[in-house]
Amino acid sequence: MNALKFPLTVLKLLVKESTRYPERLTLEGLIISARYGLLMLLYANVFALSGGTIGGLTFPDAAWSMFFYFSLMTLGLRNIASGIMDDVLSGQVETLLTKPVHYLQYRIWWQIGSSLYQFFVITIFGALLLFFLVGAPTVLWTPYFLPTLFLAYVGGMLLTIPLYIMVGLTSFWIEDAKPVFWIIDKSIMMLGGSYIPVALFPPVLYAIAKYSPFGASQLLTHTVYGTWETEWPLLLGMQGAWIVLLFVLCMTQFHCAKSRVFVNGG
Amino acid sequence: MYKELRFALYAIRKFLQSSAELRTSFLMNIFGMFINNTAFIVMWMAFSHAVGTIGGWTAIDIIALESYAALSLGTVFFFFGGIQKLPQYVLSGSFDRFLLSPKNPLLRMMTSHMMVSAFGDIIFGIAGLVLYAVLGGLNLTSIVMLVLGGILGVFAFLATSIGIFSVSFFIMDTNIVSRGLFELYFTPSMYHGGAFSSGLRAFFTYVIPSLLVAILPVEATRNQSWETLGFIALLGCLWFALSVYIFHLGIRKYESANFMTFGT
Repeated sequence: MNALKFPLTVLKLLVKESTRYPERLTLEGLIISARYGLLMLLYANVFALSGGTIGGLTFPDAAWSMFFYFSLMTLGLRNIASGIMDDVLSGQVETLLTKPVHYLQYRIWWQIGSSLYQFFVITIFGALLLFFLVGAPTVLWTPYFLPTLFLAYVGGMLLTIPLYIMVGLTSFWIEDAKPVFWIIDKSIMMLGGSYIPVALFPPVLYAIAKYSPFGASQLLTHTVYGTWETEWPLLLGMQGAWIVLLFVLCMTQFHCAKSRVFVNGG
Repeated sequence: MYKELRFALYAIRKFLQSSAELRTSFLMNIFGMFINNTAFIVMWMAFSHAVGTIGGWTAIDIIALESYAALSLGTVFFFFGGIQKLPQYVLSGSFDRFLLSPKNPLLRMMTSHMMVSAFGDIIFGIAGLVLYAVLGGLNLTSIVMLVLGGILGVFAFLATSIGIFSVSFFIMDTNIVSRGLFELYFTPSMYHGGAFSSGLRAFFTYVIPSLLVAILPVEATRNQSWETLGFIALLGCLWFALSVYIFHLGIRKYESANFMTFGT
């Protein structure tokens, strides 16, 4: 029970704070609308020109697939990396490491808490709006869709977290880890199906998107494809394996990183 | 004016020298930005591969689009990187030092910081435009237009950025809002040109001038349209005048924090 006390307190505090700044939510909504909305207008045009389907994919399915990507993005888990990088560069990490709360736990919950309110509001409103604009995804009423979508959401979060923590922790070794961040971030963006639904990828890219941890972290974008019905046990299983492996690697890296901290005093 | 520019060049040179001290970081930033930008080209190329030509936009045009966008962002944030720090200056009260300087506060503020990684954008932008010229088999007129398009794109980007970041003077939650406004402005400029049909095209040209940065310069070069280049120049000038006006209006609203800071 005690283990839950810290996350719950942080979440409660930060969600409460988020509700006090409605302009942040509006702005975040506007940014997502500009990014996602423009893409949808482009795809609506493209699908109309192509007679309704491209590579067996319909427009509503493409729209939902990309919506799931943008929805998960609103959680801002990528900011975990920049948070760690800032702590290391500013030297604040040496203070944070002496606190009774585990440093990584603090970074994870702080980030989730800061974006949870926006995530729920934007996801719910976005899903409703999309439902009225393009209709439901084809697979909505299949028995496997909603449970596996939920699992893919949770799995996506759990896999994205160690990926970005590992990026952030590289700043213990190199003076500026931003280039590493850009490479990993773009790999997730590209292989996750942000701009192009994964189903439209060329075969080689499709295979990389399916089997790499970057693509696996955005597995929820696959849930609306026809192939998901047969592939979900394998893909979710693989996502689980990546989560375990990356958390182990992440903790090992953190252990090594701690030994590199030197106290400046003052 | 000459003295102001000479001082700006001096500040830029000093920043370049200090960046060169951290050579590994400098080179890694450039390499990282190069990869970062390439990702956008790969994504849109894959898109073009899957759906074909849309609105006259081919896969090669995407190279020019992303190169123009990178060149504009890179040039402005490398040479005038202080502009994106304006919200921070206003919030912390460290903007005082620009007001106390005998130099032009806008130019002083803009040249107060250089974003090292933006140099990677500049290299990427130039390399991409050269590649576009080669792959597209451009003639001399088109090459001249390609270069002019780049210059005008940079100017339009600078003009709008001044306005966007000057909003910091008027609002409380300045860091988040100006970042959001900037994303709202810049993100569409990197999107496939085929996405913008009539109404949307007008909106992103006149209301949020994102298309001036890359999409219109590509179309001007491709269609050899001097009118389009003239249009970008005209709108760029209007935005510049408006942005400088907003900046000076903002200065009048700015309240000192009595916070002593030093810096270039």
